[in-house]
Amino acid sequence: MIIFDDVSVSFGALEVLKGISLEIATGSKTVIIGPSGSGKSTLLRTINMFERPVRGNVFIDGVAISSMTNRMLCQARQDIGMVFQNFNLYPHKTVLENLTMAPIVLKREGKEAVIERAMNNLREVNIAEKASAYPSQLSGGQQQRVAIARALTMRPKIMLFDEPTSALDPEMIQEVLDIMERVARETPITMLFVTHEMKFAEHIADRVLFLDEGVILEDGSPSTVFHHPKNERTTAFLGKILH
Amino acid sequence: MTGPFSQQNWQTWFSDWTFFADGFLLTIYISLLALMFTLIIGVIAGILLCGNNRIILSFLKGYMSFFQNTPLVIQIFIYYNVLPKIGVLLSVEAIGVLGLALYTGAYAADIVHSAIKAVPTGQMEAASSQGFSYLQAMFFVILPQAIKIGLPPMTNQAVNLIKNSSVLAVIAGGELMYRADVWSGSNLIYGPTFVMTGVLYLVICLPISLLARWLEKRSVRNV
Amino acid sequence: MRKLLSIAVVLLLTLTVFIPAIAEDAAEVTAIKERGKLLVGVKADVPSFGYQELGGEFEGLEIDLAHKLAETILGDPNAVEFTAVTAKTRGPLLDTGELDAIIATFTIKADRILQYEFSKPYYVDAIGLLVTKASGIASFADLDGKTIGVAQSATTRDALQAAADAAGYSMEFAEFPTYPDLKAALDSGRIDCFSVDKAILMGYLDDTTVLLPDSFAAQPYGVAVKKGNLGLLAVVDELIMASRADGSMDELVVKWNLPTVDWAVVDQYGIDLWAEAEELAANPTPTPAS
Repeated sequence: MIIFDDVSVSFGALEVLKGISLEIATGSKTVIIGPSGSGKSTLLRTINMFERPVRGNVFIDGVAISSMTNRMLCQARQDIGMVFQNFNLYPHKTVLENLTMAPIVLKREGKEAVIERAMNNLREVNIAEKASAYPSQLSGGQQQRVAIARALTMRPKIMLFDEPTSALDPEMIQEVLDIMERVARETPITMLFVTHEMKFAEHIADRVLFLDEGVILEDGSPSTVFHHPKNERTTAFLGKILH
Repeated sequence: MTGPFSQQNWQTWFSDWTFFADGFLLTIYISLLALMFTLIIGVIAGILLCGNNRIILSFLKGYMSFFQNTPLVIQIFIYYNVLPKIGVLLSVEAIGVLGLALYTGAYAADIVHSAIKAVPTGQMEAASSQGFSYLQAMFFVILPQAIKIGLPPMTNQAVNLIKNSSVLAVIAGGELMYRADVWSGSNLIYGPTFVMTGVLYLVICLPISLLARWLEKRSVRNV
Repeated sequence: MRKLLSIAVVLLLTLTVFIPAIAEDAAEVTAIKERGKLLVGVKADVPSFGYQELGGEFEGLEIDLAHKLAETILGDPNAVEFTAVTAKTRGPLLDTGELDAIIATFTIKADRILQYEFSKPYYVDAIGLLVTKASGIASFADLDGKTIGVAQSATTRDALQAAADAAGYSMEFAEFPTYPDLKAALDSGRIDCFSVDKAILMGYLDDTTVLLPDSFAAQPYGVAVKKGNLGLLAVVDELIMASRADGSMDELVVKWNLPTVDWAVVDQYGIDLWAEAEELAANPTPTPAS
């Protein structure tokens, strides 16, 4: 369980998150939507302390991640996978090494076991044949699938997807969405997605949050939020996205 | 027949070649050691420059400003003649290694720093998200990429370092340039001496320069 | 018969070498006359020999000698232009023809005679030893096992090495490009002794240093001209010998407060050096690495 307790985040004078309180159930799949600058990415990045609250606390399974020492935080992040808009694969490593480096270096796991798990995950995202290729030899869609496999290979409890399809060419978006959907259905990992893909959200989300100007305006099931929004701004935003 | 480049002068030079060979070896020895320390200084200072500790940053800025903006010959002169006054008597070879490393290290720090900065910030985020600490991320993710970017300019610095080792002649360094000065000063056979001394520096520096050019070409292609 | 033949051969060789040389070199003296100015390289940092105050005139025994030479060739003692030279620049400046002569505490040495024409000595100095008072060094014997600083392009090292070998002492040598570098190295304790020609050392004597009583191998100073410029050399030699004979050279020595010279001893050195040079030229053995 992830708990936000009155969390505020500021960038200089600008308050990006304004006293967010929120509980996210273990194993749930949550989609966060909202206009740009609404703070949705910041909300995601506060979970692994990429952004630090100026007020309030974030708890993961009862432990305040916001007050951890650097060392504890590194430990905690091993359980929180993240998938980035720009993939951020390690260009000097092969696809397979991208997956195996962290488990081998950080978790000191046996090489063979990690490679076996990594290959399974590459098969899961349909890209096992590129195991020995370098990231620069892959398309954007392929790179993002590798990035998902990389996060999975750490066997995280939580996975954060920060606009995973925004940087992709249109013809590659679907392959990544399909993979994310499959992973979301097959694993018990708690997942949070920041995305504009409403159909995807409707398919897999247990819960949709609509954020605007640092405040949660809507919080409910996809059908409630998409079809019966309480707030005018939600209606306006959905109108722009869907048409 | 006569003149500074007479055949007789060449013969005299070649009959004393071991005197220059010893200096040549010392130049290589001092340069190699200095290069090793230069890299150590460059990597440590380059990483620290990416941090945000004010005290460390201002210390490093001070170090780099001083060593980049004063002539090496004056720095060497200080180690040689001023340090003994506070009880630190270093050998000429030690001064050569230390002096060249501190001087070139000030440039190497800049190179490492810019090379690290040239690695996209997403790389550090990706590594951090997986649980790498700052230093672990540096060594496993950032530096391997920064090396590719920084290697060509670093190689140029290595060439500069070797050429700069010639300033040790002013403190009786015993290296190649010193021997050229001493030998030709005594018998006035300067023609063959400085031609051959130049050739010997060329023999070490040219291959390294060519390597730098090749690395540069390769890194441009790989972008 | 054989002896006669060899004398004839030597004579013939000498003639073939010298006759065209003299013809050419006269032309070089003429060139100076056509230019109307004598170009001389001198020291700017050796008091009493060649010295220049900041922005001032050159002065010293060697400057006076250059004026005399200008008077001899051009009839005007002021028809001379001075260029400050260092140990490193004096050779090349002669070779390129930018200077006619070097009069700059240039010690005559056998292997140097192979590179440039040297005149008869106009002065002779001895090597001295300057040490710090704090070191407690009182004589050459105390320098056994010590480091001696000498100037690059000076002949000091060979002379001291010979003296040390003769006495069974071991000494380290370090060579420096300038006299101030040497003084700094002495002050910082890098070297135990600063050794160059005595007249030069006098300029570096201060209340922390002391000149040892020992003297070593005389250093005869000569005027250097380009190799093969025998015409100019003859004029210079004639002037120096005349000045030595009529006492005007001694007057200059007194004028600049320099120790007086025993010309008989000077000539002995001179003869030895040229004989040695001839031997070296005829039988080119490797010069000993200094």
